[in-house]
Amino acid sequence: MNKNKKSLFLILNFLLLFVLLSLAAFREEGYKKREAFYLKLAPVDPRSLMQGDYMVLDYEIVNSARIKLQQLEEEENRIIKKGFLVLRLDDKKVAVFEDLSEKVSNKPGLLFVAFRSNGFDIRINADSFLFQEGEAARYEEAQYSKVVLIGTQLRLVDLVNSLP
Amino acid sequence: MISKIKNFLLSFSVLFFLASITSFTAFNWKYFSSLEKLLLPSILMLVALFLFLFLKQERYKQLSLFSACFLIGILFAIFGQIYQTGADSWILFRNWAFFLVLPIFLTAYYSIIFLFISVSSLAIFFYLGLYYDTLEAFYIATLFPAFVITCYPYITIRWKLAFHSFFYRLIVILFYIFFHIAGALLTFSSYRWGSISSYLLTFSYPLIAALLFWIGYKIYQQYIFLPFSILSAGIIFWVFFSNHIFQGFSSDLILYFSFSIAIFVGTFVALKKQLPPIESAFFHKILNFLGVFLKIFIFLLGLGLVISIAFLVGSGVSSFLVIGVGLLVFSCFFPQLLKLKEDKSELISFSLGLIALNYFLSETLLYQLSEGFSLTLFLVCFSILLFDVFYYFRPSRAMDLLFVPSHYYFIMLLYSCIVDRFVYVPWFVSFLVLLALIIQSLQLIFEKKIEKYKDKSKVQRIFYGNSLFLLLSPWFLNSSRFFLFFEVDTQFEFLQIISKNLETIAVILLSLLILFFAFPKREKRLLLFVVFAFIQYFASYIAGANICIMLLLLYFYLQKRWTTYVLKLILGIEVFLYYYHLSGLSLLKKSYYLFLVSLVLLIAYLLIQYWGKELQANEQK
Repeated sequence: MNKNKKSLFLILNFLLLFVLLSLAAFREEGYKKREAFYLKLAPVDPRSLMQGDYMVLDYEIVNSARIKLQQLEEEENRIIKKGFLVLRLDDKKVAVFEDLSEKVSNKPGLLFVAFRSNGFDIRINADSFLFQEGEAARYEEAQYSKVVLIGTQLRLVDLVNSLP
Repeated sequence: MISKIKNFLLSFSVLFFLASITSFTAFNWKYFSSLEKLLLPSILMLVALFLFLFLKQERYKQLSLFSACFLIGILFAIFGQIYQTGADSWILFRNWAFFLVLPIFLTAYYSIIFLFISVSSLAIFFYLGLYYDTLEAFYIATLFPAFVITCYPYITIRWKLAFHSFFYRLIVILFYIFFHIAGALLTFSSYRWGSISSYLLTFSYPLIAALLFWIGYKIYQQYIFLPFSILSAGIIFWVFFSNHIFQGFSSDLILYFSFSIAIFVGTFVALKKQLPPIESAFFHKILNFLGVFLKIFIFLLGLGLVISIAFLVGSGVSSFLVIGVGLLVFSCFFPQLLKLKEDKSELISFSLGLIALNYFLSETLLYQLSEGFSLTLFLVCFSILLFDVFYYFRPSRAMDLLFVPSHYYFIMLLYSCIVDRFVYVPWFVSFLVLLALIIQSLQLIFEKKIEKYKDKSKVQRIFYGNSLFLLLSPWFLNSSRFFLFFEVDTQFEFLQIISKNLETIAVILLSLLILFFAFPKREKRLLLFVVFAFIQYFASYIAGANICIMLLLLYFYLQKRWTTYVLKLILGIEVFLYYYHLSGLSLLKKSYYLFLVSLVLLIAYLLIQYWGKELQANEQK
């Protein structure tokens, strides 16, 4: 392959990167405008880490799901690696844990949030919140995560101290 | 030397710049919009790509494309930071690896291949960590470099490509380090978790080591696999012995430690005696390094053995006297037993004997000394006296290296004893660093005399020990716990400021002195003085960087190739540690200092490249 062709392919590689990233960015900007709801936080852990400050988040629904998952694993004598948290929104748009499920169903009023488990932790895709360095104090009092649901994946929009 | 300096200036300018951008973006600006945050790495990437396409020199093209490829990762990290996608880390590294494939295929730059291997291994680790135990994920991730080192020779043969020895050996060495850490941790934890996958992976540990030996050494005839396979055999045998058999010996620590020592002594002997000879400075260095590693391990196990014996004997503290004296006597005959006279391995038993004796003395004298007499002072003086006596009668290479640092530590302890407070005194340590810089300058001033001295390698090792102290000083000497001080002296802060400034000035002056010796003629020497004065001034903001750069200049001048490789590696690690260390400095400030150093390095390079051509002729060597 001659030098010009190689240069062309390299340019195409980076162009592809920019195009895909731009499309992803447009999509993410669109997600922010979706209707949001709230997840009640269990005690947060404001932690300053190397690649920018972030908080590790834990949720009441995840704590409930953990207990349920352990029960299911004991009953069925198998390890469950992934599935869905079944949630219902209360009148203040705060998600309440209902059940665990291996499939998504069409039952009205239910939200299905994908989770993964390594046998110890349950991850629901909104487990950490990144913020500008030095702003930890601003988020320490946070009581809720403001999230949107894209299919069965959560997107974390913000941390809030109280419900609107 | 000037070409080495130029290479160093350019490559580390890029490294510092990438670190500064990473630090800047990690600040996670809330004042910039999403578009602005994404634009910064994107524009830099385009600039780097542009430079790659339009610059002619291969070195510039490599650095440019490497920068562009590194910025891909930063761009993805910023994307995740902005949109809080909650995406798993593995997706970032997977996507990053994906966009590295084509640059590798088109250019075959080894820096990018190395980046790809690192990124892919991290992607595998983070992915598996979602579903499996962290140790299992870590272990499996180390198998990706194993895959690379088995395929790479075949690919070069099949497609008639040039075989890059340095790259291949580096990957092999790094693989073995991480493989054994992961394998050992996995083995020690396997029965705790009890899953089938844990057992399978644990027993794959020795099988993979054996397979790599067969493929790497028997089929590809790569010598590097031989010493590492011998070491692997010793480590794996010990790991399995410790984990599976130790449970039966849990009440018999003496037998456990004795057997463990025997395993590693056997490995050490096999490494020294069983390898076929090879005429390669690189492999001699590797074998020395592996030997040192094994000695340190044997020392730690020996420490365990000494303590176990003491507890078992149960006669209390007096057993330490017997053990200490016994070990000191044994250290006189140890090399003859193993027929390793040149290796001077007796340092291990000597150190253990010294520790045992010190413990005995501290426990017995504690109750017998009158008030006001400093036990610590006595022990410190006793230890250093014993060290000096032993060094005089039974010198060894390790003791040459430790001679200067041990006496610095002695001085620190002496000061503490005199002021009757066991405290860490930062300004006093800075003055010790000044002393070390003065001593290092003697290596330069008396270079010709040292070259003619009959035992010059001994003198060089002593200076290496001094260099080691200087390298450790910014990191470990600033942490009081490293020297077991539990209190930091906060008096005389003005002395701290003075001593730090003096240290900075001394490093600058020593750097200029090195350049003075390296470039005896006056042509454009002033240019070098000015650029390095600025470099060292700004580098002093980054802990350890100025000292490392000064030592690089020194060993460039002394033409110690391997030492300069190690120093470059250390400088890279220092940049990494500076970025990650929670030193109280904000990411923004770190970014600023890193950028300043990067800029100064780049300007220095350009000045030397385009206005310093006479320097090549001006070089002394």
